[in-house]
Parts: sequence; structure tokens; C-alpha cells
Amino acid sequence: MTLSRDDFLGLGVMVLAAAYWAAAAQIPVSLLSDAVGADGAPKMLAIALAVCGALLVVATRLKPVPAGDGEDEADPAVRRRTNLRAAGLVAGLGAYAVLLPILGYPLALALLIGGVAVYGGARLSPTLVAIAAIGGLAFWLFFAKFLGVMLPLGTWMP
Amino acid sequence: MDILSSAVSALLGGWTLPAALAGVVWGILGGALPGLSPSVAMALLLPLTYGMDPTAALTMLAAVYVGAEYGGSIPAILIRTPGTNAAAATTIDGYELARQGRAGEALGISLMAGFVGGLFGLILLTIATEPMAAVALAFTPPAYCALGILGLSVIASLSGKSLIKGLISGILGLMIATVGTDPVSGVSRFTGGSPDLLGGIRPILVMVGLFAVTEMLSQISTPAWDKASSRDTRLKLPSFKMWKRLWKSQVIGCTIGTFEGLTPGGGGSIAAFLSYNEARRWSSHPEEFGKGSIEGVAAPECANNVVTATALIPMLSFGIPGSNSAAVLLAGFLLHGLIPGPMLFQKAPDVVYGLYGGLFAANILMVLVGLVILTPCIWLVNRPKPYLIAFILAIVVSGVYATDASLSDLWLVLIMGVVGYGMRWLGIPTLPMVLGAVLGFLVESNYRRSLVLARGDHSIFIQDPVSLGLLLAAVALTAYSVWSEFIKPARKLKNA
Repeated sequence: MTLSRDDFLGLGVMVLAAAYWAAAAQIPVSLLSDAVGADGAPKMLAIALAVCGALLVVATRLKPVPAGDGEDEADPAVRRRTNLRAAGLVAGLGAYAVLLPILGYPLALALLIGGVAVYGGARLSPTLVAIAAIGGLAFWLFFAKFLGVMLPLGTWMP
Repeated sequence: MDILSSAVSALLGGWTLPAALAGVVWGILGGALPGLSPSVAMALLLPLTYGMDPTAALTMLAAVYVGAEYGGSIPAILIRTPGTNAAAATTIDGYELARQGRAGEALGISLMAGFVGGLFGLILLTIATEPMAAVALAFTPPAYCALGILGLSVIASLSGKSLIKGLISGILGLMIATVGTDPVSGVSRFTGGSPDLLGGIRPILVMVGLFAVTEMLSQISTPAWDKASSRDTRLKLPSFKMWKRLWKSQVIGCTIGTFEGLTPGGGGSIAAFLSYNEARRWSSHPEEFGKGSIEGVAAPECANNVVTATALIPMLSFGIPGSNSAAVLLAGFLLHGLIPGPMLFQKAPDVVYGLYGGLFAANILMVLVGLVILTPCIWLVNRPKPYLIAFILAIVVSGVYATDASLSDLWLVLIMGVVGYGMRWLGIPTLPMVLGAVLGFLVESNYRRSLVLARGDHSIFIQDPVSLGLLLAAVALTAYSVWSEFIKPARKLKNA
């Protein structure tokens, strides 16, 4: 018997439901608590999620569930490459979040704009560098000066 | 007659008209920025109104609300990023239309549907405040809980091809809503000790992650789109023929928007999703929904904009702010020494009627501003894809960070983007999750408050007539959706 992706999804959902139940059980009981309790709704949701997971497995066994948008029908190698590209962008965004307090908002944003554009297929050129730099500066002027938002300027600024 | 003359003199005599224009422009900008909610856009202007004439000040704040609720639909249609919670339903068909090169048409429909909704709501606000305000008072905790459940009943029709996956998505959304401080006892839940999560996860962050970041993750590895023709980059207002097709969805949007606006806490999100669902049910072309239906844009946009006016009815009549935006407007009233409630209409009728005039002007100005800015907006999203993705992400990360200056929000949006990407791959619809995240707190907090009031007796939900009516509507809606979405097509397939 081979397991389909929906089988794995159903099983994964059941594991998630169990983990969520366990986390709900850790919620402290307050003296102000009502009859339902702070853990009441989460536990109900955990049960509902587990039931849905089980139903998905059963439904998949009885009749394969049609896939979502048809994207999964792509060649596995293409799919893997697509996922890797997406993972690269996630890494870039994560790097932005890490570097934001260190480099400061204008510089980090300029790097994000330039980096994502290059990653998306734009050619590294003086024009691109200028667009990224102007973008970082323009966004900073808008948010920091016009809206008055406190944005980090980086640890390197005096 | 008093109302009309006060409104006209307020518009012509002072700073009301420029205030309305400034408010609309600021509101559209604030609404279009993901993460910056209408209430935040209003709150940013609040200190500026201190020295202004009360009518102009309140008009400016209300105009921001009108502009922001409309502005949220612009990124929803163009870049699959709802600028406000209420614009999430517009994303479904608006973005599909944009992908088909019909962004100008979608934006034109959303603009005019919003205008119709705004005017309809304003007429109700002007002539029926007193009788309709009674509806707001009929809402007790059981009714609020039932209202939330009615909103959740739309999940079945948002589930796409698999009802089970739709339910899983909805439950995951409800789980997201349980993060933060418990609404009754005050203990923290699922925060992992992080103070940033004590206030819960804001639904707009879930939406920005699930829609915008997920879309960019998908787009980054697909080939660049063809250059849009000049026809595709122009705003296109609905023709008479199109109006004839849209009237039904507009009536649905107006009706549901009126009801939801009157119920404090109901808000534009429930109105938009319910209207979308009903428009689909009553449409002659239900098969187009989800694939680029013009009615799927008109109904939620109309409902959403009706709410901006009708939500003011409980606020002006009883001083009950039904939403964050109404609370900021209430603060504006208090800042000028005006106390909303029954006496407001006796003590400061000129301000109230001037506000009505200002809102009327704001709706017209919304259309005029829209006519000016929308074509450049469409042009902008047709720029080379690598730059577009880079700037969309720049807007997203900046808007998200700007609201609370919180890195946690950034990480949260990124995580939701990855979750959304995974859900796409697994064929799990994301809209039920959004609905769960939006309505979870409303349902749970009012469910538990009801039980506290009834000393644990669940019959309170059927003893309260409003609650009973809403629950019956939810059951009927769910049953109909399950039947029409799953049982009917299965039978048809079997008989074929």
C-alpha cells in the first residue's frame, strides 16, 4: 500500500492536533476561570482537527481527493527547483529581518530591493543599484519623516 | 430639511471639503499599505485635528475611514494583498481578473461598487439612524457568538474542491485566534513566553503572509509575464450593460453591509465574506466565482463600504464604537468636547449634519481620487517582474514593521507566507484560515461570556431570539453550501 500526499497530510494534521492538545493542557488554570476554561476552546479545536485529519485519511483511502490547483502535477524536478527558489527568497527575507537592526532600515531595505530584483532575474547594473538605493531612501523618508515611524538606523550609525 | 441645509452649509462654508479631500487621499494611501489598518491611519491624524473646527475634524477622520476601506481593495486586486481585513474577500476574484489582464475593469467595479455602497449607507445613516440604532442594542453576547458562527458558515463554500481541507484550514485559523491573552481569565495561551504575542496575532498579519508573501514565493520562480497592452493598463468603469449584471450583487452587498454595520463588532470582514457567498449563490454565473467574477468583486466591495456609514449609527446614537475605526472617531468627538449619544443630535446637530455632508463629499471625492490614481497604479504593477516583486516585498515588510515597530510581526508574516506556500502545494484553501483568524476571537469570547451570564446553560443561545435566528441562518447556509458544492455535483456526475 502506497501512501499518497493526502494520507501524509491527514496523519500530519492528527499529529498537529495531538501537539496542540498537549500545549493546551499546559495552559495554567486561573482563579478567574469560567466553566469552559482557557483551555476549553483549544481542546475542542484539537479534537475537531484530529477528526478532520482522520476523515481525510479515510476519504483518501476510499476515493483519492483531487489535488488543489493542479500545480502538483508538475515534473518533480521542476517542482523541486521551484521550491528551492522559494526557499531562497524566504532566506533573503529572513536575512532582512536579522540585518534590519544592525544595518538600519534604509540600507537593509535597499539591499532587499536590489537582492530580490537580482534573484528575480534582473541584471546587476548601475541602474539597479540606483533604483535600490533610491527605493531604500524613499521608503525611509516616507515612513520615518512623513509618517513619523521610529525606524532603526543601524548600529553602525554614530 | 434642517439636515440638508446644515450639511450643505458645512460643505460650502468652512474647511469641511478640503478636510474630506485630505482624509480620503490619506485614507486610500493608508488602506493600500498592507499592515496599516484604517484605524491606525485615522489615529495618526487624530492629533492634527485638535485645533480644527469640529465638523471639519470629524469629517477628515470619517473620510480617512471611507478612503481606507476602499483603498484596501487596490492592493487586493493588483498584488493579491488585502490592505485591510475587509478587502480579503475582494482578493479572490479581483486578483484573478488582474491576472487575466482585466485589472482596470476590476478596479473600476470596486470603485463604483464602493461608491454605491457608501452612498447607500450614508442615506441610511441620514434618514434611519433612530430606528436602526435599536438593532445594535438587540445584540447580546449570544447573538455576537451566533454572528461569528454565521460568518464561519461560509467556510463550506470557500473550501474549493475538498470540504475536509477547507475545514482543516478553518480550524487552523481558529487556532491562530486562540494565541494571546485568554478573553475571560486573562492567562496567556500559546505565547511561548513572548510578550509580543500577548495581544494575539492580528488577522491582517495572517492575511499579508498568506496572500502577499505566498504569492511572491510562487512568482519568484515562474517565468516573467508578457508586457501588458495599453488597454490592460487603463481604468475601466463599468458600462450600463455591466451595471445590469451587477445590480443583484450590489443589492446583496447593501443588505448584508447594512446589517453588519449596525452590529458593533460585526465589521466589514464578515459583511464582505457573507456578501461574496450570497452573490455567488444568487448569481446567474456562479461558475465564474473564484475564476474572475465581476460580481465577486462588486458584492464584497459594496458591503464593505456600506459598513463605513452604517457602523456610525451605533456610535452616534449610543456612543458604542463597534470597530477600532469607530473608536478613533469616538476619540475625535471626545477631543472636541462632544459626547456621542442620544443628546448629541440635540446639542450639536450642526456637527452631526455637517459630518453627513462631509461623508457625502468623501464618497464623491473617493471616486474622483480613484479616477486619478488607479491608472498609474495599474501601470506600476505592469513593470518588469523582478522589480515589481522587490518593491511589493519592500512595501510589505515596511508596512508590517511600521505598525508596531516589531520584528516579531515581520517573522510572523514570513512564517505565514511559508505556511501559505505549503498549503498551496497541499491543495488546502487559505481563505477559510483567514476567516477563522478573523472571527475566532469574536466567537470564543462571546461564547464564554454567554455561558458566564447563563451560569453554564447552553440554552441561552436558543432563548435569545437574535442568536437563534442567526444560528438557524448559519445551519441553513452550511447545509445549502454543502449540498450545492459537493452533493449536487456528485449526483450530477453519477447520473451522467
